[in-house]
Amino acid sequence: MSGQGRYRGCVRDTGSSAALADLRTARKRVRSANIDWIDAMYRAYVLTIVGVIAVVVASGYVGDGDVSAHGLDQLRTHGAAVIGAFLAVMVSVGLRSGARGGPLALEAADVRHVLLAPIDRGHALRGAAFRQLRHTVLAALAVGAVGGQLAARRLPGNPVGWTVYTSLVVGLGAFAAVGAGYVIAGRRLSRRVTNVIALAVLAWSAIDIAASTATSPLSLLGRLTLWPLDIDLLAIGGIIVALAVGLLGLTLIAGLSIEAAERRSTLIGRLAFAATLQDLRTVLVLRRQLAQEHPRRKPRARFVPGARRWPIWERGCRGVLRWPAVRIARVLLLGAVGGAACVGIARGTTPLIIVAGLALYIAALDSIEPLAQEVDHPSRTGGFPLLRGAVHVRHIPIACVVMTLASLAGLAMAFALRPQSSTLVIGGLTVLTAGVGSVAGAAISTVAGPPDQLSSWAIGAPEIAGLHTIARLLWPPALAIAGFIPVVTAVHLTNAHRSSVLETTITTTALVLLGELGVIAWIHARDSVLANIRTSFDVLGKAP
Amino acid sequence: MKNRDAIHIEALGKSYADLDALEPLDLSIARGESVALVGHNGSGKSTLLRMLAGLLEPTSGKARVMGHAAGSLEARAALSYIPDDPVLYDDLSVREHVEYISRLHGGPGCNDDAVALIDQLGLTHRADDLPTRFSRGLRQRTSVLVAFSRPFEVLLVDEPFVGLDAAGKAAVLDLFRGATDRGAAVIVATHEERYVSGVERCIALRDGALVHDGPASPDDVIRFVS
Repeated sequence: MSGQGRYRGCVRDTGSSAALADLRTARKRVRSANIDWIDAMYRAYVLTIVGVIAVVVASGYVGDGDVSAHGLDQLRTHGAAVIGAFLAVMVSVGLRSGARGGPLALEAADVRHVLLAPIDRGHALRGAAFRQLRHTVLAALAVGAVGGQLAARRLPGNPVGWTVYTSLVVGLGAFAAVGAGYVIAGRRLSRRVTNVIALAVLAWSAIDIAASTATSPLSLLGRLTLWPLDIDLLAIGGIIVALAVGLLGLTLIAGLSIEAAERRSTLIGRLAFAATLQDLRTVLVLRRQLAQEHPRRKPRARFVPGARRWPIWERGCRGVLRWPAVRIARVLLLGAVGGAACVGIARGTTPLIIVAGLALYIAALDSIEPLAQEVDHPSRTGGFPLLRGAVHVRHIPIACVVMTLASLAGLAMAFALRPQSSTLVIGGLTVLTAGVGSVAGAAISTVAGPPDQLSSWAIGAPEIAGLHTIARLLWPPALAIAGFIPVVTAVHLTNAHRSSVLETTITTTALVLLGELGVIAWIHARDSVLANIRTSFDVLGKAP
Repeated sequence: MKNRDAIHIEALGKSYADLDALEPLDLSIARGESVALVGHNGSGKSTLLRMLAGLLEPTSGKARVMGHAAGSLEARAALSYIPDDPVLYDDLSVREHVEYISRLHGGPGCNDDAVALIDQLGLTHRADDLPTRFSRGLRQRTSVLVAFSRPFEVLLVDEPFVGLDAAGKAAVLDLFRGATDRGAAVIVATHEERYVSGVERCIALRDGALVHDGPASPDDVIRFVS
């Protein structure tokens, strides 16, 4: 025997469980003692304000008028299936997280000290899993209650009923989603098997929508939302399945792979820190690591046109040719989401421009990976016989090629949903602005990097610092959103029965494109201009 | 497996996609044996130790610790592991780490022996401090302290001397010697000459494969890691 104490072969009954309870109590005590109550109250205050604003804005879109008889019929026919599909997306996210060892995120020290201790893993993990489940379900109940309140403004039936049942459905959906993740993680099912299960869950819900039925367990749960209209006892089946999945997850979590738990604990900690610092690039890199999304060892093709003349172009092409299939699929899917959102804009829901812009912005953050690698290694870039800005700008063409392909996927989706010649014409123009705009937004976000916590902006008056932070955070995605202005222009002119739709849209496209190229020119000149400004301030500071 | 084996490995291997981190390996380490594990960066030392500790799952073969499957409840009770990156709670003092982690492993908590251990590692004046404010060396000492404040039969150590000053290294070497004298199997991944020259057995890995198992001179070690 070595170390302190007597090694007893197995310490099942030596009070390890009590020690674990004591450890958690002691840590809770320290955490409670360290809470800054003023700071906590301020956060609660800010959260409340943001929540109230979100509810008021959402209420504005929902409106107050009673829904029409046709609308009510549609809700009765498709409502459960559509809500079921929403829950299916939640469960699929949970399942995919489970394939990566989630959604439980343990502390690194807990993995090393508690999971390596001779304590039953189920006992060690169930507490943390239950706490995570409780937090998620509470948040979901609150979101559901808000949704129910909004629904009650336009739908007949008891408002309290809408609030309670919608809240319950979203809460149970979250319970099932997290529980499904625990089941996958606990059984250590492979990603392939998990993807098949997730696709089956989504497909069943899609079939329910297409066939105007509600047969999947999640669609059955969706029937509970409609109880203020008609009480359908089949909903109890959905409730039972959701509860069973959640409880099964809590039971099976004991089988969690410690290797996955350790990898996840390390990455989640860094991810949270990077998010706190608004370091989008680090968040993106860590998220890829969390998803184990590694580049291919061999590129998909060896030949790169123009490789000899343009080495930076070649470097970018080789990076893109090493993309894993999942990244290619994600970028094309986001492009398709952008296209679908454009159809929504054409049908009158202009705010979908935000969805379209954000989808392409997220895709563009992947497309500028070669540029981001350059920004990650400034000392290497500094060694090139070129201005840093020139190097950055030469990475942009490959990103534009990628985003043009993603935008074309969006155009294909838009044409599939709205097969008209105007879709092709306006969509073709938007492919240009959306592709370049999203790249410009992603590039400026990457080149600017995370906010400098010690800059004159950050240490100035809090109101100014806050506004600066918000502006800095919003303008890159705003550029991507602006890429869809041609669609909005065309829709607006068509609805106003103007004759010059195409001419005006072409002019708008040209202006938007000009603005986007201006941003790219700014990326080229940014370093020199900022250096000149700093020098000028230094000179002014030293002036007598 | 012989009864005297503290660690017994049969065809233990680990691979990631198309990369073999550790090729299938057979090995036995007896109780009371002191072993140096050497090899260049990426040779598979940490992978081997982490699989024995139960932190990594092998892709082939099996490992047993004191006759029990690596990572099992019984193996975790018998094995103490000091990683190359000290991982400690941010909100517990050194003394509290000893108290709770020792008890988690069936140890006595922070008793007089543990206080003596704290003193031996030069942490007495920092015993009530949080490790978040510690230097790399102090965190490493705390990590060693935590590993020794609990009972074990097998000690796995990954690069323990990084960040330690001369006094710290001497204290840690003393602890390793004491553990071996009391019958524990001690496996240390290090190139530290003072440790390597004091052991009779050196296991060298290169690119995930075993290239040497036996006595080794300091010159041999330099050859293995170059």
